[in-house]
Amino acid sequence: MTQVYDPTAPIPEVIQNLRRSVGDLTGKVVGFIDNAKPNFNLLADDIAELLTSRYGVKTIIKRAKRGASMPATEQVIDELAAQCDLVVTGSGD
Amino acid sequence: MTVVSHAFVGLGKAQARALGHPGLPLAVIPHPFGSRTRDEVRALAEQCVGEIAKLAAAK
Amino acid sequence: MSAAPLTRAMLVEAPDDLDELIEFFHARRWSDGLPIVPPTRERVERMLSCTTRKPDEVVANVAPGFGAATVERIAINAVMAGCRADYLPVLIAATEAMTAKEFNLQGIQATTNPVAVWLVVNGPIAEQLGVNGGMNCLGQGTVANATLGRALRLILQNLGGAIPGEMDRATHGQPGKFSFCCAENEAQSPWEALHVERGFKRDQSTVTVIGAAGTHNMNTHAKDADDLIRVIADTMAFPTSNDYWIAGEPWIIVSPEHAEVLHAGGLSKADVKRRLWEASKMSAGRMAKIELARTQTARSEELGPITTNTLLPVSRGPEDVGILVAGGPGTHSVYVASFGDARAVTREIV
Repeated sequence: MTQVYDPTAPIPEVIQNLRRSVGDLTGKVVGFIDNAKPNFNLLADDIAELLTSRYGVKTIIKRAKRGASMPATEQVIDELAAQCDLVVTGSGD
Repeated sequence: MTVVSHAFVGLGKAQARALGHPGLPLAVIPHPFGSRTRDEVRALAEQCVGEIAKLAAAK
Repeated sequence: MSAAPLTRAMLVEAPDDLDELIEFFHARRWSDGLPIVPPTRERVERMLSCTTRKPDEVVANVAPGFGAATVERIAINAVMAGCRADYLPVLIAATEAMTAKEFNLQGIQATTNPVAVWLVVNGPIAEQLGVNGGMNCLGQGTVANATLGRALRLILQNLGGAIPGEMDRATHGQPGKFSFCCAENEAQSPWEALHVERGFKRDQSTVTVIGAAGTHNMNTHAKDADDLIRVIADTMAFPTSNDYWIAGEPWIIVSPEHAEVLHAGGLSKADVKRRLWEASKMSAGRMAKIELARTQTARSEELGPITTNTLLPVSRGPEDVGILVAGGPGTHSVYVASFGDARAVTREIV
C-alpha cells in the first residue's frame, strides 16, 4: 500500500439546527418565496388558498425572487423571518 | 420548508445539511413540474398542502 | 459527522499499483473520469513550496457543500490534475475569485444549466507559466490551460461537493466542465487588457472567473467594423439564452484579426461593447411565452412594462458585455453566452 491524500473536504462542523415543530396551523402566518420557476406562483396561490380555507391559516405573505438561481434579498428574508411561523420555498423544475 | 420536485430531493437534502439545517422539511412533488397545466397544478396543490401541514406539525 | 480535522488533509492508504490506484480514485468519485496523478506527500509538498501561504490556511469555503478549500487541499487537487508546482498561486486566486458573492457559485454548481467556470489569466504570469492565449487556446495541447482548468473542476467537485448527478444537477453539462482556461492574447490586442480594464496594472497578474454557458463559433470574413458588429450582435440574440431573460453578462472572445477590423474602424473596447449592446437587442416576442413571463418578473423593474414588442438588451448595460482578445490567426470569434446570474470576478495572483 502507498499513502496519498484524500482530496475532499469534510462537511464543515456548522451548527446543526434542530427543526422546530410549527404544530397546528390554525391562526398561523405562512410566507411563500416564489423561486421564479414556471408554475411555482400558481402552486403557491393554490396552496395558500387551501391553507387558509382548510387549515385555518390566518395570514399569507407572498414574496418573490428575481430569478431561480439567485438568493432572495436580505430584506425579504428578514421580513419573513420576523413575521412568519412557517415559510415555504421552492426548488427544482 | 421547501417544496421540491422529485429530481431535486437529493440536492435539497445535501444542501440543507451543508447549511446546518439537516431537518429542513421537504414537501416532494412530481418532476417535471414547470410544464404542468393549470388544472394539474391545482391537483398537485391539493396533495401538497396535506404534506405541508403534516410536516409543519411533525415533532 | 466526520471526525476529520477541518483544515488538514488526511493521508489514506491506497494501492501501490498505478492502475489500481486510479480505480481507487474513480470508485470514490474523487476524479473527473480521467486518470489522476497520485497526490503523494512528496508531490503535494513540492507544490506547497511555491506559495508562502500556510497549508492549513482556509482560502474559501466552496459552495454548495461548503468544504474548506485550504491551500493544501487546493495543492492536492492541482497535483491530481497534472499541474506543475508553480501553477498553485493561480488556483488559490481562482478559488478566492469564484467564491466571491457576485459570482454566485451556489447557483453555478447546483444548476441544470451547463455552465462551466472559465478561467482567464492576464499579466506577466501567463507567459511565465505558458498559459496559451493564441492558437487553439480553448483546445487541447497546452499543459497550463489543460491542467489549470481541470484542477479548478476537481476543486469544485471535491471541495465544493458538486458531484455530477448529485449536487451538480446539470442536464448535459459541457466539455468545458473538464477544463476551460486560457490567457488573453495581450500582445495582439489593440485595446487595454482585461485586467487593466478591471482596475489592475498592466504588470500585475490576475485570474478572472466567468460563468460560461458554452462556446459558439462565429466565422466571418467581414472586413469593416459595422458589418462585423452587425453579425456578431445578430448571433448574440437567441430566444433560449439566459442572458435576455435575466440580464446577463455575455462574453465575446474576439480573434486578433477581428479585433484589428474593429480597431481600424475607430472603435475602442468600450465602443465595441456599446455597439454590440445596442445592436443585439432582441424582440421579447421571440421567446417562448413562459420565458416572456419570467422576463417580465425579472426585468420589469429595470425596463418597465415588457410586451412581445419590447426590445430586450442582453445585459443591464454595455459595460456588462465582456470582451476578451484571444486566439490565433483566422476569421473566427467566439460567443460565450453566460449563466446569467453571475458576474465575472478578477483577483490578483500573488
